[in-house]
Order: sequence, then structure tokens, then C-alpha cells
Amino acid sequence: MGQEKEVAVKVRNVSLAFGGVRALTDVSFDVRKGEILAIIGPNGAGKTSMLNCINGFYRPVSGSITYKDQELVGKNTYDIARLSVARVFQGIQTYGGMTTLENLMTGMHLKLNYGVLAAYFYFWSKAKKEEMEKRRKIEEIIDFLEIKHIRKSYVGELAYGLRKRVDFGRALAMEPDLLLLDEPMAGMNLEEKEDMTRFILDVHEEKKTTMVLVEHDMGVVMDIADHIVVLDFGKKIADGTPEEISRDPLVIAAYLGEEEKVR
Amino acid sequence: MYKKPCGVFDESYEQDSALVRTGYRWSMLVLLLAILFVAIPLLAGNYVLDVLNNIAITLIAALGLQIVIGFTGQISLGHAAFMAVGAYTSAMLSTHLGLSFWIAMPLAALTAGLLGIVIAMPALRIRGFYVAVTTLAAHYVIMWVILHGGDLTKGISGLTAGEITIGSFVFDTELKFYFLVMSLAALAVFFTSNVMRTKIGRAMIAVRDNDLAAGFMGINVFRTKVVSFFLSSLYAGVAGSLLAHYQGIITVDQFTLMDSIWILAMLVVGGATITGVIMGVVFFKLLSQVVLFGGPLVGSMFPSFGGSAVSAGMQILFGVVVILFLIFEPRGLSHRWQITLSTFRLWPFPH
Repeated sequence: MGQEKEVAVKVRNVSLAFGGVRALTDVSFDVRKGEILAIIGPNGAGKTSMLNCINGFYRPVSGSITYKDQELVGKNTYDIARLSVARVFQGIQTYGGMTTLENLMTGMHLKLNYGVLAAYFYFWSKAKKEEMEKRRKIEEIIDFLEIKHIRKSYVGELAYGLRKRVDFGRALAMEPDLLLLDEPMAGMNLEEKEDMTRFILDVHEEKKTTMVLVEHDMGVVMDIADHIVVLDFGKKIADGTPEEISRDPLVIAAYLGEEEKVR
Repeated sequence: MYKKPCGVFDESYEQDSALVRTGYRWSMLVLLLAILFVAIPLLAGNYVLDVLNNIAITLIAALGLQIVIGFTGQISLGHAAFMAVGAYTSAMLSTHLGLSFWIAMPLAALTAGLLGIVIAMPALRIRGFYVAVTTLAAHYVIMWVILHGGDLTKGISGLTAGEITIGSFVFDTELKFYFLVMSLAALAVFFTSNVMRTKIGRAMIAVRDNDLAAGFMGINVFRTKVVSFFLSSLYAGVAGSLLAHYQGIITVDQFTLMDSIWILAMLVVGGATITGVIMGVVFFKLLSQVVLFGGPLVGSMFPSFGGSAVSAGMQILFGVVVILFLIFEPRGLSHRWQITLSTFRLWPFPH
């Protein structure tokens, strides 16, 4: 790793087990500030589990994850969200019963400070003022993601590709410093993938958001990642730039099988 | 998808998120209020006013249940019990302590709300069906306590509740009471609509649709559920208190499990929106009037059925209505209404 940037997320010796299954074993790596780090690996390698540990959804049995000088292991998901950690989910995890606009506004949940009583007295309290201020930012995200036409559509009625875009928009509405993307492009066609890649790169360029990306499409990963971590059976087998990774014999073995066995 | 009438454009975010969006709708709202608060009081007799008072009280209770079931997605079967808590607290405060309704009602609502929190705490650690069973248990515990409350609740003999007064003005007729409950119901609808378009309402729907993602977005799922149970019981408390003072006397058997389930049925028929609550409550209450008058009528036309068979058959009608809604319009009357509106707005163009 060439340039020495400040470390944003420090993952140290993280192990995670479900009963007897070891999902992660002694995984350590650094996510540097402002970089796009891709986690790759075969199915079941522990990529999503790793993201869930950072998000606080899984609690590792040992190890530590530090971010913004705080230990994330042991914190609740919603407390970690307060540290501006946003997540784009694998598959569809949007709120189907709300419109696109409301889905995105939900991402702003933590940025709105009024309480229940203010919500009741909407017109005569700070609730309305705050809502309208945030609406501006939401509309910017809607413009940016080109989802103006579905602003008032119920997300449950939208096509898959659009729902993924709403999911991404909802994460952006959290104004994240750290964005965790779990297969944002799974199940998309080439055009949708290109759009999504463009959005990710634009956000990265503009906001300098640190991103951790889990993705199976090697073309995308090699193109946009600054730094790649390879997991296999819950262990880290490689860590480096895309060029280093593509030449790494262990990685090739993990993806294509070992040479001895092929012979 | 929500479609605006042709030619209506929003120029500010306020306009875009307004509850009443067009001049036409404003005029409809004014017309509705005029009917509710001028025409009906002038024209309606005591019987109709009594039915409407019951609708208004049920509407307040149903709005509360909608918050928990329709918006937060937690099945609660203890709503009638929370109404009972509100009714008995209010009646006890007015009978034993001589407090005025205007103090007793908020205290009753708060008591019901706090009890809602106490019951929600264990109930919400578990999910789905088990929440329903826990609230079911809560229903029986609350009813048992009321029944064995001795002189405080007067057990099965019923507890009186004082009249509502402002100065020397007494709410002693159906008409006077009508103005009170209908205004409160209208306010409840308005304030609940406010909550539902703020972060509190969005957090509830987020928990209903995807509690996992909600947690990742910084929404404290458990607290959201507890808040929704609190608000829900608060509404039930207000409704119960109104019922107690309206009837002047309350007994335990006015708050049965069936009442909770009927309110739930109203929500099913109405749909998971605030308009849905109004539609469901009005629909059911009018249907029960049909049953009330239709039953004896059918009985007199076919005497061989016998009176009890007819009244039982009319009860079945309620069940059939709920089943038909579940099969043909699971999203309720309000959804059907939206579709109808959209169709007319697009007509004669197909899309």
C-alpha cells in the first residue's frame, strides 16, 4: 500500500462464530480514510458477516473494531448509525409501505431532533421547520440518483433496480462518513450496474466518503476499489491493491481451485 | 402511486407535504365540517346523535390501535383493556375524589399510556404472534384487577362517573356531548396525521416494514415500539374516559376481548392509513345499525327462522365482511378509495 493515509476503521483479530461454525477467524485490516475498500471472496467467505460486525448487528466473539476512536464491538446498531455509518443492503431491505421520498427521509432520522410532542404540534413547533430544511437535501439526493419520477411511488411497487437505488439514496440521506455497501449491484443488468457504479464514484469524488464494498462482479471491483481484502472460509488470505490481488497465487487458488488439485 | 389531479403543481415543500392539497379539497373539508358541526346537530335526532357519539369514541380508540397495528405492525389484543383502564381511572377520579372531567380525562389517558408502556416492555422483547398473546394475557390481568377492585371499582355492579361540566354548563344531552366528542375525534385525526408525516411516524412504519434496516438507520426499534404502545394506550384511555362519562356508569363487561377484536376488524376493513380508520369505523358502526334494524325485519319476514337464529346470522355477517375484505381487498377501503380517485384523475387516458 503506497500512500499512507489516516486509518478510518481499524479491524483487529475479529473472530465470529455461530455455534460451531466459524464465520470469521482472526481477521485484521485497516480501512483508510476516503478510500474504497472492497471485500471479496467466494460464497460463504464471511464478507457480509464482516460488514454486520462493523454495523454492530453481529457481535464478534473476540477482536476489536475501532472507528472515530470508539470501540464498535458491543455497541447497538442504532448507536453505530449515530457515528454516521450507513449501510446499503444485499437484496431488498427498503420500506415497502412508504414512498421513495419517505424512505429517504427515514435515512434522515438521526438528523431530526424534535420529539413526539413537537410531532403532534407539527405546525406550531420546530418539527415542520426541520422537516422542510431536510427536504431540500433529500431532493438533492433524489435529483442525483435520477429517481424524480418515482418520488411519490410506494417503494413496494417499484422494480428491483429502482428499489436498490432507493436503498442507496436512503444510505446517502444519513450523510455518512463511512458507507458500507453489501453487493449493491447484485442481480442488475449491465446498464444498471454502470449507473450504480457511476453513483458510487460520484459520491466518493464529491464527499470523500470512506466506503467498504462487498461485490462479486470482479470487473467493477478491480475498476473502482483502491484497496482489496480477500476472505476465504472466514480467513483473510490477501490484502493489497487491485494489481497485487489479481496476481496473488492464494487468491487465484481460492477462486479457481489449487493447481495441484487441478492437475 | 399517488396521483395529483391534473394541473395541480406544488411550488414549495410545504405545499408538497400538505395534508389538504387543493382548493377543491379545502372546500370539501369545510363542507364536511359544516355537515358535522352545523347540519347534523340541527337535523339529527337523539338516536342518530347517540350512534354518532359512539362512532366518534370508537374512532379515537381505533386511531390508537392503528398506531400499534397499522403503523408499527405489532398485533395488540389488549386495546379494550386499555380503554377500561382509562374509563375506570376517570370514573374513580370523578366519583371518589370529585375531580372534574377535564383533570380526570388527561390523568386517565396518562395512566392507560403508562400501563401500556409497562405491558409493552416484556411484550416487545418478543415478536409477532407472541406480542398478541402477551397483550391478550394483559387483557385478562387488567380485567381481573378491575373485577376484584372492591369499593374502588365496585366489581361487577358498575361504577358511576360524574357529568362533564364547564362552569355551570353541563354536557347532559346527546347533542351537547356530540359537540365534545366529535371535536375531540376531529382533533385526534388531525394530530395523528401530523405525527404520521414526521420522523416519529416514519420510524414506526420503518419498524413495521423492515425492523432490521430500521436499526441500521439509527432507529431505536425497541423505543419506537414502546412509544407506539404508549400513544396507542393514551388514545384508548381518552376513549375509555369519554365512554365512562358519556354513559354515566361503566361495567366490566363493556370491555371484552371481542371489543378489541372488533376494532381490529375495523382496521382490517379500513386499511393501514388514517383515512382507513375513519372508513373502517364508520363502515362497521353503520353495518351494526343495519344488523340492528335488519335482524328483526328479516325475522318478521321469515318467522320460521326464529329470532335467535336471525340475530346469530346477522352476527355472522360481520365475520363474512371481514373475510371478504381479506380475500378481495386486503389493503382495505382506503386503498380502494385511492384507486378510485386515481382512476378518475387519469380518465379518459389509460396511463
